[in-house]
Amino acid sequence: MGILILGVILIPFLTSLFLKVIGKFLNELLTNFITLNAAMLSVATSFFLFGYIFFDKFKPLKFELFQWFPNPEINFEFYLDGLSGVMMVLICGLSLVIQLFSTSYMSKDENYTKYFEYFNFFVFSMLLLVLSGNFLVMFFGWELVGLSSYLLISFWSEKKSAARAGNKAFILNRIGDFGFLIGLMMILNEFQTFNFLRIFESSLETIPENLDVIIVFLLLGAFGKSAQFPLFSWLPDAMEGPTPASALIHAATMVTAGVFMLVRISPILQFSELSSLIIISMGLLTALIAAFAAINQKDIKKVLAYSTISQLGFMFIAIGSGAYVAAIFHLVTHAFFKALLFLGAGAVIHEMHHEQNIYKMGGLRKKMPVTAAMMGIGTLAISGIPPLAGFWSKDEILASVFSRGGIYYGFWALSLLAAFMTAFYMGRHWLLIFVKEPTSDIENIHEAPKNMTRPLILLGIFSIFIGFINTPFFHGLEKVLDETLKSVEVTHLPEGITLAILAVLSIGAGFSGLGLAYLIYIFDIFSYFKIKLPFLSEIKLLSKEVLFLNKVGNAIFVRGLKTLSRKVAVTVDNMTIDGIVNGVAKSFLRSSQQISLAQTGLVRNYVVYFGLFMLVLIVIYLFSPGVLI
Amino acid sequence: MKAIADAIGFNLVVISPTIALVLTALILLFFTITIESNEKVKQVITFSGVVSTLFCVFLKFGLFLQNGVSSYFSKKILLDEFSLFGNVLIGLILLFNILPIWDSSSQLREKTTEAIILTLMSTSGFMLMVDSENLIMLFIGLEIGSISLYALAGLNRVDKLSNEASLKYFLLGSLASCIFIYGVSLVYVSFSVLSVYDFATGVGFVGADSVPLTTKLGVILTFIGLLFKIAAAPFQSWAPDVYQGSPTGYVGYMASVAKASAFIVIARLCQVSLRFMPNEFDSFFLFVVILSVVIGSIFASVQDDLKRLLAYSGVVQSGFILSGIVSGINGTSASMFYLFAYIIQLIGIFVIFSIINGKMSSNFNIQDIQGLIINNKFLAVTFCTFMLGLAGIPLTSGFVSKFILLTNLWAYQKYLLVSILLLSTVAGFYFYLKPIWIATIEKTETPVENFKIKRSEYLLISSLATMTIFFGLVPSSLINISRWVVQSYL
Repeated sequence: MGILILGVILIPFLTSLFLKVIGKFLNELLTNFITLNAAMLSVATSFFLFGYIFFDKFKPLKFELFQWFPNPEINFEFYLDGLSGVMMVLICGLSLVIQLFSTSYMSKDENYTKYFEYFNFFVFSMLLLVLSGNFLVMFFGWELVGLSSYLLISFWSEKKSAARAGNKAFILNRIGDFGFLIGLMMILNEFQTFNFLRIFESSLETIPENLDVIIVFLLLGAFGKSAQFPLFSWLPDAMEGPTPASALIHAATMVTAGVFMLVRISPILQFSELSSLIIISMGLLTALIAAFAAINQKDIKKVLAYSTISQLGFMFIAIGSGAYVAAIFHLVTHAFFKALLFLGAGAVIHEMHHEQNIYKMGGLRKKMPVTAAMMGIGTLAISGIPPLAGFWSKDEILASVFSRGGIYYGFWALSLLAAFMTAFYMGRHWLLIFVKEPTSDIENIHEAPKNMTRPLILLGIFSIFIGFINTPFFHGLEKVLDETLKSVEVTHLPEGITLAILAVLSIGAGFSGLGLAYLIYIFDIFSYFKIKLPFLSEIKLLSKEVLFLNKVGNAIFVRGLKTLSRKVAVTVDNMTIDGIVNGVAKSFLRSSQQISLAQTGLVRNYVVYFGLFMLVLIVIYLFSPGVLI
Repeated sequence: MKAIADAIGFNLVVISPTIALVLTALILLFFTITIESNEKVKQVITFSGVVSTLFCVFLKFGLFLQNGVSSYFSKKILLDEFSLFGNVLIGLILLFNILPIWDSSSQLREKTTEAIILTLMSTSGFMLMVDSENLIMLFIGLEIGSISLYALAGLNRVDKLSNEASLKYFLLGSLASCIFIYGVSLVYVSFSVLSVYDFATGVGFVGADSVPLTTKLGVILTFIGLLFKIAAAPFQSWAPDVYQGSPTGYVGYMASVAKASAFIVIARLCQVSLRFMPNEFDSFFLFVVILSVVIGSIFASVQDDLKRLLAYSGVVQSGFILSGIVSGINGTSASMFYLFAYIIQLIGIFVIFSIINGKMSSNFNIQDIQGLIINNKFLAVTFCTFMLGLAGIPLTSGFVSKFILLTNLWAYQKYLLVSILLLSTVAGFYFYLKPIWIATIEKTETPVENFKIKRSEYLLISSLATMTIFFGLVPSSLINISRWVVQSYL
C-alpha cells in the first residue's frame, strides 16, 4: 500500500513532465483534458489512501524508496499519517478545483500549457513536502515549492514588477531556508538521523541541550515560507502571479508549509518553552500588523494577501499556545475560504479587464450575483460568523489561547482585536467591490463564465460546512490527528460556560467589525455626523505603507546589499586596475604607447597584489595564537 | 640488476598512466612531423591513448590491492588512495575534455595537433604531480602540467586576448612556481626532508613545538604556490582574465585539471604531512577561505562576461572545497565528493559554452545566451542543470556536496565558517540565476539561433548532466568512494 504514496506524488510530476515534453503540440482543450484527468486521478488516489488509513485507525503508512546517504543512514522515505493525510487530500482537492477555474481564467494566454506545467510541478513539490518521512525529503519539497512558486510569480515575466516580485520572494525565502538548513545540520549532529519518528522517540528519552537553538533556526525557515514578521513582505508582492496560482500557492497550501512543519515537529517543539513564546508573539505581531495593513490597501489582491498573512499569524498563535489541532483546523478552513476569496477576486479581475483597484469597482453585486454571493460567504467565513467554517476554527484558537491563563489572557485580548480587524477589513473589501455606488462605468460587466463560477460555488459550500469537522460537539479532526500527536501535550478547550462566553465575544468581534465597515464605507458615518477623527490621514498612510516596514526592509536588505556589493566590487576593481599603482601605470603608459594599459597595468598590479597578500598571509600566520607568542 | 631495481623500488606500473600519455603524445608528434596522415588516424591514436591511460590507472588499482600504501623510486612516487583518486579524476577530466579540445584544435589555422599534444603532456604532468611523494617531483609535475596550460591559453595566435591571457597566466604562474619552490627549499634547508611522509615522521619525532619557524614559513609558501593553482583568493586575479581570454574549447580543461590535482595535493599535504601539527595553520586557511568566498561572491555578482562569472564562481567553490580539506578527515572526504561533483559541472558548462560561443573565441557576453531555450532546448536544459548544480539546488549533486561539507564543518564546531559559507550560497543564487534567467525566462526579440550539436557532444553533455542529477538523487556510491579515499587516515 505504501507504494501508492509514491503514486500520489508522481502523478502531478509525470503530468508536468508530459506537458513539458509535448507541450508544443497541445492546444488548450488537450491540455485541459490531460491536466484535469490527472488531477482527478490524484484526488481519487489520495481519497483512497486517506480512506485506507482511516479504516486502519490512522496507523501511519511508511514507504522507503532508496538509501540516499549511508551512515548516518538517511533514506528517501515517505510517511503518511493523519496530518499528512489531511494535507494531501486538501492539496489534491484544491488543485483540482483551482485547475478547473484556471482553464477559463488563463485561456488565450500564450503560455497556457506552461502554466499547467508549472502548476502541476508545484503540486508535486508540495505533496513531496507533506508526505516526507524525514527532514531531508521535506527539505527537498521545501526548496522545490520555493522554486515553483518563483516560476509562477514571475509567470508573466515581461512585466518588470512580476520579475522583481519573483526575485524578492526567492531571496527572502532563501534567508529563511538558511536558518532551516542550519537547523537541519544541528539535528543531524544531535540525533544522527533525519527520520521524524526516530527523532521524536529519542527526544522522549533525553531532550538535547540545544533544542531551543535548533527550533529557533527551524523557525526561521517557517517564518520565511509562511510569510511571518519580519520575512513577510514577499507575499503581497507575489500577487503579481496569475490569480488562481496565488489562490493555491500563496493562500491555501505553500504558505501553510511552515505551520505544517511546526505541527509535524510538535513532539520536540513542546519541550521548548522559549520557542513557543517566540512563535506566539511573532504570530500575534504578524496578525496585527498585517490586519492593520490590510485596512487601507486598494489592490483587490493585496487586501487578500495581507489577510492571508494575518490568518497565518493566527495559526502561529495556535501553535505557540500548544493548540496544534486548532492550527491545522484553521489551516484547513482557511484554505477553503481563502481559495474561494482569491478565485472570486480572480473572477472579478477577469471580468473587469484586469482592473485591480477596488475603489474603481463598486456595485458589482447586480452584475455578478453568483460571485458576489460566494465572496460574501467567504467574507462571513473569514470574519468568524457562525456557523460558517472560520467561526469554528478561529474560536477554537481564541479559546485555546484563553485557556492557558496567565500572560495568555493578554495574548487572547490582542488576538480578539486582530479578529475584529479581520472582520472590518474583509467587510470593507466586500462592500467596496460589490455594494458601494459604482464610481466607474460598469455597464459591460457580466457574470464570470461557468467554469469560474462552478468552482466558486463548490468552494462556497465547503466554506460553509467544512467547519463541522471539528466542533466542540464533534472532535473529528482531533481524532484524525490523534496518532500524530499522541506524545504531545495539546492545549484543550475550556469547558462549559467559559467557552460559551468566549464564543459570544468572538462572534461579537466579527459582527461589530462587519458593522463598522458598513457604517464607515457605505453609510459613511463620518460625513453624516460630521465627525473628524484626529490623525486619520496619518493612520491611513501608515496602513497603506505597512508601517513603512517594507520600505525600511527593502532599503536595508535588498537595495543596501546590492549597492554595497556593487560598490565594493567596483572600488576594488578600480583599485586593481588603476588604483594604488595608478601613478606607476600611467607614467609607464605615457612613456611607452605600444603596450596597452590593461596588459601592463594589470600584470604589474597583480604581481604587486600577489606579493602584498603573501606578506599579509604570513603576518596573519605569525600573529595567530601559539606561533610567536 | 634486479636487486637494484628492488632496492630503489623500480616499478613501471605505478607511473604507467604518465608513460602512456607521453608515448601517445610522442606518437602524435611523430605523425605530425613525418607522415602526412589524415585527421581520422590521429583521432584514433589520441582516443586509444586516452583509453589506455585509463586502463593503466586501472592497473594501478591492482598494484594498490597487492601492496597497499607504498612508495616507489626511492621515495619519489607514492601509491595511496589520494593518488588513485587523483589519477581517476584527471583521467576522466581528459576523457571528457578530449572532444572539445579536438574540435577546437581542428579549427586552428595550421591544422596542427599541437593542442592535443600539449593537453596530453599537461595531463601527464598533473598525473605525476598527484603521484609524487617527493616535493621536488611534485614541482616537476606541476611545471610540466602548467607550462602546457600556458601554451594552450595562447593557442589562438590571431586573438589579442588569447595572447594576453597566455602571457598573464605564464607570468603569474611562474611567480607562483617561484614561491612554491622557495617554500620547498625553506623546508628542506631547515628540516632536511622532502618526502611528504618523512615530514610527518619528522614532526612526530621532534614534536610540533620544536619545528623551526623557517619550516613553517616554508610550508606556508608551498601552500601559497598551490593556492594560486586553485585560484583561491587573494591569488585569484589571474583566473578571470585567463578564462576570458583563452579559447573557450580549452578553458574547461584548463580550469578543471589544475584545480583537481592541486586540491588532491593540498589534501594529502594537510592530512599526511601536517597530521602531527593540526590546527597550526588554521587562521591562515580560515583567512583564505573567507576571503575566497566573499571576494568570489561579490565579484561574480557584477560580471557581464559568462566566462569571468564562472571564474569567480570557481573562486567561491575553491573556498568551499578548501574549507573542508583543512578542517579534518571527514571534511576532506566531503571535499573530495565536492571536487568530483564540481569538476563534472564545470566541464559540462564549458562544453556548452564552447558550442554556443565557438571553440576559439574569447569574450562571451551574458547577452549571447539570450533566449537560448527557444531554439536550443537541449542546451538550455542542460545548462540550467549545471548552473543549478553549482548553485546547490536540491536534487543535484551540488546540493549534496554542499550539504555534506557544511554538516561536517558544523560537526567540527566551525559555526562562524558555516554561516559565512551558507550566506555565500544565498548570494550565489543571485549570480547563478542571472544567466538562467536570461537564457530561459526573459523575453527577447532576438533569441540566439539554433546551434549544430554533434552526436558525440550530445552524448558527452547528456552523460555529464545525468551524472549531476544522479549523484544528487543517489549520492551514496560517490560518498562511499570519497570515504574510501580517506579511510586509512581515520
